[in-house]
Amino acid sequence: MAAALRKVDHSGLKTGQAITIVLLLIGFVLNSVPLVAIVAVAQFLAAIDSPYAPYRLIYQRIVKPSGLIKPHVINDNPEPHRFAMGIGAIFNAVATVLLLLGAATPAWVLVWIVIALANLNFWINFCAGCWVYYQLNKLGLPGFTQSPIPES
Amino acid sequence: MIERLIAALFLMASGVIAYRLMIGWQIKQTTALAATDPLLGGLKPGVPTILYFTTPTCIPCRTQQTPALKRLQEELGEAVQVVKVDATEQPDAAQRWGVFSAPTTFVLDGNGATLAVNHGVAEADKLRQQLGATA
Repeated sequence: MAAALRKVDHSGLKTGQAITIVLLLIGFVLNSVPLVAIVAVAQFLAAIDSPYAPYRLIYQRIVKPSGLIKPHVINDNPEPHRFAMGIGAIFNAVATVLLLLGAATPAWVLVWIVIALANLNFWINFCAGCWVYYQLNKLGLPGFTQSPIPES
Repeated sequence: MIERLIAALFLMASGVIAYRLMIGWQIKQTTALAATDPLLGGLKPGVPTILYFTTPTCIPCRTQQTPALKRLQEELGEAVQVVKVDATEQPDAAQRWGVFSAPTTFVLDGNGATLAVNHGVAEADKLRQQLGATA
């Protein structure tokens, strides 16, 4: 059963996507394994809704108070976005391991998939992870409890 | 490092160029399609149209795109007509129009020529501006 409607600040999500894109691009250019690992950890903490998730802290403590970006709070389910973050975290974690093992090409392919999907989400609001979540919800998979929100 | 920077710039630029080429191709294809497409069959001739593809699982459609279109219709009245299509109910239509994500909006002039394609949410101001090209 779906929970009551909740609010999600999409400016916070966009901030996370922008940071992910920038850090992974810098990571690729500098060939930096730690940067990919840092993004994986940040995405993992966001996925488990940790109060110490760096993206959340950066948005709430720096971006939002600065007034540079206005909050964009809308009715939404947070779970699909967290699931999408989790998928990104897995991709980046696997990429980190592959980089440490010396398998650079498949590792950077994974990183570029994350960059591409984060760009899609940032620029045209297409959240591939959310789409997968709702497909799994439709299939009745345990854990994927949130249905699409009703028409407002 | 310079090589990797160039590779990153190349990949990013390739993505942007591919997207722009796709939009151009989609505008050309849908302009040819609009004259005979059954989706636009019952519309008033000479009035600009927004063809809006949505899906039941599209959250931005419900929270942003639909309200933006309602607002635009309230403002413009009969000067614009909006056709809403559920891409899951009409997958053939979505395929014909080359829709791969929701929301997608096609802005058509009074003659059915495609003026703009928006992948993702298009705010009312943007749609008004795109429609303004017909004036």
